[in-house]
Order: sequence, then structure tokens, then C-alpha cells
Amino acid sequence: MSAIKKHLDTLSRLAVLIVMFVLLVLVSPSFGTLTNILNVLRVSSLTLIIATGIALCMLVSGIDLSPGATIALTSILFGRYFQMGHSTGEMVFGIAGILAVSAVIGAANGFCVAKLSLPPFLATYGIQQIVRGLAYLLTNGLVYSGFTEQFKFIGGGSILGIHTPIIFAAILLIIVGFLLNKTTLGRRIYAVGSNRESARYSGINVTGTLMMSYILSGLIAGFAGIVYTSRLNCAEPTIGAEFAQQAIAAAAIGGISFKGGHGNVFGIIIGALMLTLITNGMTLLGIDSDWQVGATGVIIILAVLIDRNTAKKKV
Amino acid sequence: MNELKSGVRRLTRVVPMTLLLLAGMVIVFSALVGPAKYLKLSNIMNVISQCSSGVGIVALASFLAICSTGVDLSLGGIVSLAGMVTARILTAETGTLAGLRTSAPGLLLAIAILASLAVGALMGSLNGVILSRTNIPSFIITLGNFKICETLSRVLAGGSTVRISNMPQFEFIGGGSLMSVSQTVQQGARTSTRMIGILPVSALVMVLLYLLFSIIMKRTRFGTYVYAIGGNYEATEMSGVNTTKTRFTVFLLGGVIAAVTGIILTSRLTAASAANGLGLEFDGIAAAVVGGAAMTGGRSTPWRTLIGALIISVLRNGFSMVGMANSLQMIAIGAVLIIVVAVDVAKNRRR
Repeated sequence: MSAIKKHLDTLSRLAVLIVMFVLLVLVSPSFGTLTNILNVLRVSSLTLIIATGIALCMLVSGIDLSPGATIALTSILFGRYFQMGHSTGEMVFGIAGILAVSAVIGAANGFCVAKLSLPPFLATYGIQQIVRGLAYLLTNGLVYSGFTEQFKFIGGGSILGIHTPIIFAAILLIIVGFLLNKTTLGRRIYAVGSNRESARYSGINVTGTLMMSYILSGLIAGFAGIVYTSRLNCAEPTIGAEFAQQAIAAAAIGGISFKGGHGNVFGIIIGALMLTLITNGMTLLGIDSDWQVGATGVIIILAVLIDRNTAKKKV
Repeated sequence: MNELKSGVRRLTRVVPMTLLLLAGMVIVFSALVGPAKYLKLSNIMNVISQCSSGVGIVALASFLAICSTGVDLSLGGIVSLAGMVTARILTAETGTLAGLRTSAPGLLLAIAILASLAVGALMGSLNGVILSRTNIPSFIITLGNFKICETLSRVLAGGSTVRISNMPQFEFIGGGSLMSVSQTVQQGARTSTRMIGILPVSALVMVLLYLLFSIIMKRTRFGTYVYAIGGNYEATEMSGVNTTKTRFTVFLLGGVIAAVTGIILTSRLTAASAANGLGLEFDGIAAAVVGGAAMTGGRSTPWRTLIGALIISVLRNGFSMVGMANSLQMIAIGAVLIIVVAVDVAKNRRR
């Protein structure tokens, strides 16, 4: 009984997700086919990856607005510097370079939040501006495209009929799930998010934990950048403008609290799938794509209002 | 040495530090660009009208939100939406509105402005209703509202820029001037005379708004409450102040102020695009903080915020005049935002 109570939040979200799915199948029977389900998963996987990074920041009562810009910069870096290599070894070197750069961006966010005590939304917005500016600076007005087949496989291939982004998202979620539930860092993240002061008094390195959360979020954004660049098969400085908002919406409906300390990876999965289903449903109902972007705004507000961990009534 | 220090302190008490910073920036930019080109009347007026149709008025809304320990990230979206509503009403092709354009353009203009202000008030009160009754972080609700406003603006735009033509009365708001001087311009071998407005209507609107809010913040109960909430929320609530109403009003006024910017911006460009105004919310925060507002609330005044807004405008204009690439400008503005807030936070920690 207590196990059910503990997971009531996640279970109720799962129930809503299933109801949504059934409704969509009823409206359009072709929605239930395996091909379409795999397609939904593939579309969700990028949001899912980015949302996982942002959720790590939200768990320490922060936010990360920079993933979209990080994705743009990493794609430009890959297009400009790392695509020359045509051997697998050179590609791996390039990917390692991209991940290092994205970790540095995450560290810059972390430095501003943890060391300089800036409000997280301001710090990550400022860094986002700088990173996006760098992406524009490095493009020289060019669009880079035509990557090697091996690289295109990362985001566009499939193994046993399952699209590679789905597999990557699954691996990432397993790693982050393990990190949050089974490691000291995970426990520290929840502790810092629940109550920073008491975490500090109980001897937790708060600054280090905050830094780690933002570095991981940066790394994950860089990883998303690689998958996205590969799937798009081109690099432009404008990409990813909507990604952060979508991922925040997914994390919010997945029950990641903006006050920190509440939420888990299952919530993120359910949130990302719900967001994709909502978008799909809107398309089925013939709603213009312009409206679909705005739906994320409504979803963020509603999700926060419904979430009892965040929206405590004032006394 | 001590005399110098106390002298500086006495000076900064009368003249805010930020005004000196503004003067310093003007000197640096005029040295970099060349005084003849930089301090030209047309460039000075350009900075002023850029300020009043952009960060200038929005900064006032940012100041109000920050002063009451919040932040309003929906302002840019409201600017875009309000500007779009104005443009749509002025260019309506069917119905009574289209008839009004020829029969009573003044009435049409009044309807457009009122509708736009009403939309601003509505979106502002959406923030206010939620943020005054719950303790949800304000950035997240206003971020969601930003998306809603931007989307509505895009839908209204219908995928194109809405251009307004043959509406001299409307153009007067953002482009007109009560007083002009003629100036001879030497362009190569050709000399031409052109009129430069030295008393722009938009700047007057801006100054009047600041004057109004300066009085409101100093002399009314609402102003006192806003400062009190920023100083100590719990204590203010305990002493019987209706904090819910005050916070609601702050965000409602923020929406109206952003709508004023939307009208002026659309008028100045004589066109509304959904991308207009997006990003102004962060310029507004930077301006308010440069002006002396603390992210923890309760400090600074409207006039100091105006100086902050002028600094941001001079900075943006200076970067362009120096010939800095757009990408470098993005980087520089991002860095300025971080540095400004970091300095503010460090200052507060020492206190």
C-alpha cells in the first residue's frame, strides 16, 4: 500500500497518459500502429534528452534556459571543425570535443549560479545569449551540411527497427536514473533541492552539487546537439530556439517541481510523451502549428498550478 | 585621500553613480566613433527614440516587478502582442472598423490604442492572478505567459508583417516630434536639408510615465506597499497590508506599460511583426538592475531606472556605431547582463 502511495503522483500521470493515448487511437485508429508509436517515441526522444538535463537543474531548484543555444553552438562546431574527419576515430574525437565544450558551457552556468549566486533563469539566459552569439560568430553565414554516413547513423539510423535517438534517450535515462537513485550525488541533488540551508548544515558540498547539476545539464545538451545535428544532417546557428521551453514544459507536466527536490526520471518520460501526444492530438484536430508552439506556454502554467509540490497556497 | 573619498561620496549622494557611468560611456563611445559622428544631433535623437520605443518604458515595468521581489519575463511577449493588436485593428479590411478608417480615423485610432492597452492589462492580470495567490516562482509563470503572448501575436500576424500605411496620426505617436530643427547634411558633393525632431512624442510619453510612477511610488499607499513587500514580505503581510492586491496590481500595471511600448514600437516602425519586442524583458531587467534595483526587491526608484534604461540604449547604439557585428553584440549584451546582476548580488551580500 505504501509503495502505491509513494508512487501515486507518477501513477496518476501514467493514467492520464494512457487515457490520452486511448483517446487519440479512438479518434484516429492508425495512431495505434507500431510504426506510429515508434514515430511518437522518436519525436519525443529529443525533448526527453533535453528535459533530463533541465530536470537535473530543476531538482536543485534551478533552471537551465541555455540548452537550445548549446545545441546550436555544438552543431556549428561539429559542422565547422569536426566533420573533416572521415574515419570513425576522427568522428569520436570530434564528439569528445563537442561534449567537452558543452561541459564548459554547463560549468559557466554552474559558476554563475553556485559561485556568483545569480538567479538561475538570469544566469542561464545570459550564458544562452553568449553561446548563441558565438554560434553566429563561428558560422560565417554558412550552413554546414553533408556529414559522413557514420555520423548520420547517430541520429537517423535504426537498430532492429528502433530509431537510434530512442535508444540513446533510453540509455541516458537509465544512467541518470541510476545517478539520482543509487549514488551519493543523486541524494545530494535531492537534499540541496529540498532545503539548501539544511543540506549545507548537514555537511553537503552545496556549491559542488549545484556545479555538477549544471555541468551535467550542459553535457546532456551537447549530447542532444550531436543527435539533432546528425538527424538534421546540417548545422545552423538558428536551431533549437524552442527546445528549452518544450523541455521545461515536458519536465513540468512530468512532475519535476520548480521548487526543487521533487520528481524522478519516470516523470520526465511521461511528461515528454504527454507533450508529444498533445502536439499530435492538435495536429489530428487540424490545429495550426502556430498554436502548437503556444500550447507549451499554457502547459507550463497549468502543470505548475496543478502540481501540489510547487503550488502551495499562501497562508 | 580621505577628503577625496568623502568628496566622491558627497557627489554620488547628489548625482547617482549611474549618471556618471552614463557620461563615461558617452565619452568612451564618442572617442571610439569620433565625436563629430557620434555626438551628431541625429544620433542623439536616435538613441532617445530607440530608448522610448524599446527598453525605456519596459524597464519601468521590470522595476515594479523586481521591486516587489518578482520578475516579469512576459513583457516582451506583451509588447509584441499589443503592437500586433494595434496594427490589426488599424488595418482591418472588413466590418465597421474598415469603415471607420475613412469616416473617423481618430476614433479608429482611439479604439486601437484602448484595445491594445486592454490586451496588455489582460495578459498582465493573468500573471497577477496566479502570482498574487500562490508562491510559484514568478519567472516560470511569466515565461509560460510569454509563450502564450508570442503565439497569439504570431497567429494574429498570419505569417507576415502587418504594415500600416496612410495613418499620419498613428505614425505621430512613435515617429512624430513637437519641435524640429532643420539641419544641413553634407553627403559627398550634395548638401541637403532635413528636419530632425528634438522633442519626440514617444520620449514625452516615456518621461510622463516616469513622472507619474515617481509620484505613485513616493506619495501613494500602493507605492509604499510595493517597497514594503520588497523589503520584507512576511512583515508586510503581518502588518495587515493586502499583499495579494498589491502584487496583482504590480503585474497588471506591468502589462499595461508593456502595451504602451508595443503601440509606440509599432508606430515607429509603421509595421508590426510577431518578433517585435521579444527579448525586451531581459533588457528591462538589465536596465532596472543597472539603475540600482536589487533582485531581492525593495530598492531603487523610477528615475534611477530611467538612467539604467538610457545606459542600455547608449550601449546598444554604441556597439552598432562602433561597427560591432551582431553576433558580438549578442555576446556583449549577455555578458553585461551577467556582470551587472553579479555585481548587484555581491553588493547585497556585503551588506
